[in-house]
Amino acid sequence: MLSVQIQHSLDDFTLDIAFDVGNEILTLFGPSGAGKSMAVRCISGLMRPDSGTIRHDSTVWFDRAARINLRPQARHVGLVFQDYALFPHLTVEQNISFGLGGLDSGERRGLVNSLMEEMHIRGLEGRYPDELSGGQQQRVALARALAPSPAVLLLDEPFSAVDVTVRTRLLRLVADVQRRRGRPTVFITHDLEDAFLLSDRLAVIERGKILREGVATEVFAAPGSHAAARILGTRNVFNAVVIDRAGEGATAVLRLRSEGGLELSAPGDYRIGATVSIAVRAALIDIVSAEGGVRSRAGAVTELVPAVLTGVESRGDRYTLRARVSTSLLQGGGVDADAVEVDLSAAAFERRAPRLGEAVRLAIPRDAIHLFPND
Amino acid sequence: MDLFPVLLSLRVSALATLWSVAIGLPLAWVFAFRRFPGRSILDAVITLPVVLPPSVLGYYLLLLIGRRGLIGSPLEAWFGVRLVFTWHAAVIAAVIAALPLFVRSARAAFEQVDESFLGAARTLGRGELVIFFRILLPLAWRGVLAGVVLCWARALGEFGATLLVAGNIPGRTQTMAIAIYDAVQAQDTARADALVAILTVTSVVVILTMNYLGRASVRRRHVRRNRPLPERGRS
Repeated sequence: MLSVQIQHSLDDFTLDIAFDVGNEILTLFGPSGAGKSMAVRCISGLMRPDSGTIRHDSTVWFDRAARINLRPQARHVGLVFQDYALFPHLTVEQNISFGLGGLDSGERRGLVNSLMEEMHIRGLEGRYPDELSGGQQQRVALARALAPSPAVLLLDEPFSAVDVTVRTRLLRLVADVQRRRGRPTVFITHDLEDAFLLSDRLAVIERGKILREGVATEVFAAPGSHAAARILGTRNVFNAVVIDRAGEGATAVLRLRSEGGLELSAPGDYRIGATVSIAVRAALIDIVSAEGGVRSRAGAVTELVPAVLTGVESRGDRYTLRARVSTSLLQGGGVDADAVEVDLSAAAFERRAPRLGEAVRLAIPRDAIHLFPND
Repeated sequence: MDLFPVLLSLRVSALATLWSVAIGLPLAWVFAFRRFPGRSILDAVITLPVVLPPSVLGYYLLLLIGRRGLIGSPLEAWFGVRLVFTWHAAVIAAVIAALPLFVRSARAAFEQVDESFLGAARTLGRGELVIFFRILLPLAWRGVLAGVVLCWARALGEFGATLLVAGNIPGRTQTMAIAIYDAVQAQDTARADALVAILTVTSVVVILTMNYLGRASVRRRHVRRNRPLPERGRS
C-alpha cells in the first residue's frame, strides 16, 4: 500500500493531493499542467514536497514533520518517463541491467533475458536506444524500471509518443505486468481512453487538486462536479430545478426540469426547489422513433424525452448527433432549448439512419442520469 | 637548441591539467547540481584568476606559498620544503590560472545533460559515484574534454604568475613562455622564433580541436552503425 498526502507550491501553482494505492492501478487523470508529473516526481523522491507524508507499507519515505526524506535510491520505485529517458550511450541490455548493481553477471544476464522475454523485445540486446522504434523504446524503459523489482511502479504519461495500435498493446502489457506482480501502480495520463483501459481506480486531477476519486467506471458515470465532468468529457451537463419528489431517502425519485426545457425523473436525494446539475454521458443515450414502445433492459427504467435532431457529425468509428429538446413550455420564450449530444456507434447509426429535422425521442436510462450539487 | 623549456612546459602543463581535472570535476559537479550557502562566493573565488592580472595573481600566490607565506613558511619550517622558485611553483601557478576554465566548461557540460537521465539512474538505485562515471561523464564527455584542452592550453602559456613564483632560472624553472621573453631580451631571434612557432602551432591545433568538440557537443557518443528499422506494426 502506497499512501500519499503531500502539498507543494511552485510560483502560483499549488499541488495538494492525498490518495492510497493498494496492489492495483490508480490513474491520475487530468489536463497537462494539472500537477500529475509533479506528484510522480515527489513520490519517486526526485522532488521534495513542501509538506505532507509519503508511506509505503510500514516504511516512511517522506515526512516533513519528522524530517524524513528518503533518497530516490532508497525508495525502490520503478519510474517510466514520458520521454523514456533511456541512456543513449548504453545498449538495450546495459540499460535494462543498470539497476542490477548487486547481482553477479550470471544472475544479471538471466534476469535481463527473462525481462526481455516478458516485454517481447528479445533480439534487441545490442541495439542503442536511437536504433529502436518508439514502442520498443517504451518496452525497454518498462523492462529497465521493472528489473530491480520495484516496490511501486510509476508511469508518467508513458505512451503519449507512440501511435494508437502500439499504445493499446503496451497498455495491455502494463495491465498484465501489474496483475502478475501485484505492485501498487500509479499511471498518469491525459488520454481518456488510456485512463479507462488501464484504471482500477481513477483520480481526476486539475490545477493541483483531486476533484474526484473512485472506481473508474463509477467516476466516469458520476463525475460529481462541473469541472470533473468537463475533464472527463461528459458533454451533457444541465442545470435543473427539482420540481417534484416521490419517496424518501436513497430511494427517492425526483422530477427535474432544466432551464432549457429538459424534463426527466431520476433517483436522488434533494428537496423540492433545489437547483442541481444533471450529467448524462452521450454514449449512454439512444434515440428511438417519436411513437411506439421502447424496450428497456430488465429492471431498468428509461426516460423518454421528445427532441428534434439538429446536427450530425462523424467521428470516424462513431457518430455524434445533436438533438434539441422540443417543449411547448419554451415556445415564444427567450430561452434556448437544451441541446443534448448522443453518441451512436457506426453500426447503430447505419441501422437507424436518422435524418436532420426528424422528431425523435431520447431514450435515457434512469441509472445513467447523474445528479450533483450545482456549484 | 636547448629543449629544456619545451620539456618543462610539457611537464608543467600536463601536471597542471591533471590536477585541474582532479579538483575541477567535483567542483563542476557541485556547482551544476547543488545549492548551498556561500555557493556564489566560492564560484567568484574560483573564477577570479580569469579576470585578475597575472602579476596580481602571482603576488597573491607569493603571499601564500612564499618563504614567509601563509602556507610556505610552515611548510619550510616543519618539512623543509620550499616551493617558490621551483618548477612545482610553476605547476601551482598554472593550476590556479587554468582551473576556472576547466570548471566552467565541465559545469556547462554537466548542466546540459538531461535531468531525466540522472533521475532515472537514481530511481534505479545506483549511487551518485556510479551515476557520475557511468551516466554523467559519458554524456558530457565532449564538453569536459573541451575543458581539458582549454585548461591545458592556458597552463602551457602561463607567464605572469609563473615568473613571479617560479622565477626565470634556465635549466630549472624556465618554461617556454618565459624562455621567449628571455630570448627577446637577449636579442636571440632564432630561439624566440622557434619557441613562438611551437606555441603558435599548438594554439591553432587547440582552436581546431575546440571547434570540433563544440560543433558535435550535443551528438551522441556512439556512431550509428545501422539505420533503425522502418516503423512497422512490431513491438
